[in-house]
Amino acid sequence: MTERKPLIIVAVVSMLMTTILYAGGMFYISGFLPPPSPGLSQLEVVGFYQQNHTAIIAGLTMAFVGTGFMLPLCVIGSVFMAEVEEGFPYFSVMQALSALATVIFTALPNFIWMTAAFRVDRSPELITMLHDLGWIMWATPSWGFAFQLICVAVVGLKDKRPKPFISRWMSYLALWVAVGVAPTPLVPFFIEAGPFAWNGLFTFWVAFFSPIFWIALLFVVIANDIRAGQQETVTGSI
Amino acid sequence: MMSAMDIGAEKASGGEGITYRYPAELGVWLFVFADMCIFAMYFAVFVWEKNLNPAMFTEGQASLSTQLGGLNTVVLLISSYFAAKAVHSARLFNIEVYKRFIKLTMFCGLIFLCVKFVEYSDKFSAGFDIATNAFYRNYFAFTGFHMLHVIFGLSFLAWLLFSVKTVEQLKEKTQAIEGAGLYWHMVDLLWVVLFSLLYLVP
Repeated sequence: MTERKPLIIVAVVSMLMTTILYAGGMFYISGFLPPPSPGLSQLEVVGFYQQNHTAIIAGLTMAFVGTGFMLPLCVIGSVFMAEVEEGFPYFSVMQALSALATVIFTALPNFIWMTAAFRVDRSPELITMLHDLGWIMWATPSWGFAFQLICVAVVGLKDKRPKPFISRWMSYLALWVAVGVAPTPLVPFFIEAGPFAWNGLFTFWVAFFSPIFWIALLFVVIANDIRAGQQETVTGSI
Repeated sequence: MMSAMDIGAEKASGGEGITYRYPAELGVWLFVFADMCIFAMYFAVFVWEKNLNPAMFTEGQASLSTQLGGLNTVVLLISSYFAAKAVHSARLFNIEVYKRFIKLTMFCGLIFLCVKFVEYSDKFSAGFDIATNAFYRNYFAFTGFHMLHVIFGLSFLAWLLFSVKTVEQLKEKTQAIEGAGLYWHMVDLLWVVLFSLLYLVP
């Protein structure tokens, strides 16, 4: 049994780093989130990059550094998952690999938008194209994350120990989040704002915030477990 | 928080069969509730957009085949009956009957997918697709998402069919079977609402 507490502390710290850097960079500094409407005119898109040139590059750089901090969290998840699996830990490895895909597809669009902001005097068509490319890459590939959640849920439901690594209802909720992020492949179909556009109700608000809700809940549950464990002064399982 | 849920899920076995304080696990109910919340948002979006553009939605509704949609409703309702029978026989540890009803449920699910395929092909060949207008966007997205639920449900049922070979395995999996049954009923219920909303409500 791996000593849990130091790993959980690392996970909490990395999660906080991701939240602060990514949310700060995307929502506050660069103003990329919540997403602009896909229906913006070329003039509006170019204007956005010209007016916020420095803030965009600063915010996107900060956010992409933040995405890297998702990896420690996911790998620590795999460490706990591997304790449950017998033989080769397929689901734990797949979870960690999918986490890499999630991180890459979350960070890559930032470089594309940075390229758009890099030379704001270039042709407006090219700026719009980079803008669209970035958004489609950011909003569409959520299925790596869905795979992560499915792996967590499968291992969580297999875990028959008295103190499973994740509560069973959290596993079911993970499956629900996987369903919640499932509609994002519809993003490239819609050039106008609507519930399935890249700033839409289902493809942004539900698909972006249901995972955050789940991860926040996970930390509340873990914190409660640790507190309960300290009160009982149970050794071994925590 | 956990301890209360564990007690709730605890089995109180006595005599033949197993009785719970509620069927399936609490987590499945949580999943069903959360999933239905997403579908409730779908329904709300549909009604809201319909009010914004009633003419487009009436026209779109007229192009849908009520016969095929109705056929699928009947197929899913029958499959729900079979699913209920399968859960019932699993509780009585009657493995032969259980397997027969799981197969029948899956058969109905596959018929649903075939009818869906015919329906989608009709729409595609008539020149309608997801990007045509707001009505078809909602029609394809919502029914497609529902179809995804049917496909997942069929995979759970297949797993429950092929992983249960002995009565012992059936006893172990009773709660999972109840969960799958509950999920299947939800898929059925959601289709009934989708069908009335998309095909019938004027």
